[in-house]
Amino acid sequence: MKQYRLYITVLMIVLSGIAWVQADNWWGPVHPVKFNTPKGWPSPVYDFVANPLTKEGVALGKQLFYDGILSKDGMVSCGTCHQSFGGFATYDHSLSHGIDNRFSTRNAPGIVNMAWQKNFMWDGGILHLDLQPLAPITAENEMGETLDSVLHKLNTHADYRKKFQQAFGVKKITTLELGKAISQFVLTLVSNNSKYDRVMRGDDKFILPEQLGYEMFQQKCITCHPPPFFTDFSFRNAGLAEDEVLQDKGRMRITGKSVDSLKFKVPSLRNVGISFPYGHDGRWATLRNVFEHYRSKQPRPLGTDSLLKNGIPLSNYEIGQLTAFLYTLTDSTLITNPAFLPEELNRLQKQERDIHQNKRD
Amino acid sequence: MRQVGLLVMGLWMAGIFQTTAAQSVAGKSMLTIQIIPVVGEKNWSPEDTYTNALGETFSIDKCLFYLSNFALQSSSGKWYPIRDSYFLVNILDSSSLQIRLPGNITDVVSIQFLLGVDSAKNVSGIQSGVLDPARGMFWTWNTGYVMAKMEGTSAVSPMPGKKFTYHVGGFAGEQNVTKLIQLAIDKKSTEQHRILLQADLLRWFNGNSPLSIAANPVCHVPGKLANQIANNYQFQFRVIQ
Repeated sequence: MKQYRLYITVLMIVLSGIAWVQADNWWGPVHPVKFNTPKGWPSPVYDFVANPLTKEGVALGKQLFYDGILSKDGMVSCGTCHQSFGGFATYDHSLSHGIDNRFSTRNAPGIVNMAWQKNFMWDGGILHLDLQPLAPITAENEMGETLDSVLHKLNTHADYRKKFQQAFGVKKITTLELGKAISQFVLTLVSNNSKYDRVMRGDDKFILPEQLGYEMFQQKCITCHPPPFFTDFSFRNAGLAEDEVLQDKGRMRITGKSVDSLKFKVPSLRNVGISFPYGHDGRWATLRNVFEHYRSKQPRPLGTDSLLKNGIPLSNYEIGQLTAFLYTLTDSTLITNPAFLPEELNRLQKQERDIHQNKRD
Repeated sequence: MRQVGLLVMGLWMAGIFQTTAAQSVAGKSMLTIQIIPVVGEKNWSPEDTYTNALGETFSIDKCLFYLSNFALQSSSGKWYPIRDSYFLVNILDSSSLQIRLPGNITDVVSIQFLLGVDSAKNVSGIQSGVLDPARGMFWTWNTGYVMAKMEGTSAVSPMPGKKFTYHVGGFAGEQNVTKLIQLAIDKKSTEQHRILLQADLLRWFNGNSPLSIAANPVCHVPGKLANQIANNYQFQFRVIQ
């Protein structure tokens, strides 16, 4: 009799366990990921308490980041315009390329060190990192989707359902988890390992042109582009004439104030050597073009930032040195880190190519 | 042994009933606000044509607005805020026209709510439920809720399909269109736990600065026009019982 009762008890326990797992209640424990603030940097502005990084969340965010599922035609992902080899900016495209052969109206900026940024986009219109991906997803000239449709695709996708449940414990994916997941991956894109950083840490040395450029940078550029982010995050009118087709008023589009006309966020110069073309609409193909604009003595349009009113005097010689310095801001560990690259690319790089087989894969 | 057996059994049963229990927590004593969309003297209907103060004729296909941060005032004068009270009213969805508030106070003399979404919820990332950006009441390019939205057609509209679209939003500084509404409640409503609240959509157009569909058929950004419309529609509510 006693034994019989034991069997019943064990059976109950097993059945309960099975029922619980069957009812989709189970998800594995999440593995917290520590966010490291580089030494000497300010505290991040992102609220990690509201969205604690986990191994599962970061991996899910990365999968979403490189997945065309977020776009209407399945072809455009976040990674389409934020390319690892371009410092997570658009490489060699002036304007971002969206669905149906469409262009966006701006040059996709490098999205590194986002944990320290308070607002997003060239005009600062977006006030939280989690909200940022919703803009390109729903813009008809970028990914051209609706949130309803994206959430439907994700909720009917077994792999994503499983991974969202693992990372966030939800059975139904909503905008909230979508935003949080993408943020988790993007937040890990910290660029602090360029030659410049190594020199500052005392692990490396500038060669002469870099050193001269560094000194000049401190005299002529640092007001708007201070380290460690190489931007002061302010909105400024750099004296670029308004493009007649784009008619982009920049910050004024958000504030509605005429004083903000043609002001755009000062871009970070990290990875500037690999993130050409330059300017909010990518109008400058090379750094040389940028320097030419800044040293020009031509009268500036009304409203140009007072710091640029008379141009920045720069000799050809100085431009060469400044360029040498700016190239030290390229973070080669960032752009080759497998943790940040698409999994497909990681797989391909691991495979040994058989040159006798005329197959790409 | 027996206790263990019973415990396991108990837990098992609890697991089974878990879902049912969660659903029955709601209920108790509730205060229901029934919103009745009208246009002037008539009940709103998508087929009807109306005339605004400037003599322009129009019909309304769509109208949604957020009501949030409800508070109830008892006869002692004390206000009782209702936590996390956010509602999206949609004239096309009859269930959204019924706002159910926890009504522990039996002597409500007035109610207060924000027409729109408070700035805190605008700036603290992605929200869920009725505040989920997927509800289509959120600007992704310029963070912030569309506090109220009306779309329809008018013979005088110069836009394609003779459409007019008013998406009213903005939460910061001069662009703030949220409005704090206070309404007195009569005894009968309190006794019946039911407030009938008319929303007169004609007030979007008629007010201190009448809205001309011909001159302004579209509002898609925060700013002057959005403020003008919000200043008009803040007077749309009337308690009728």
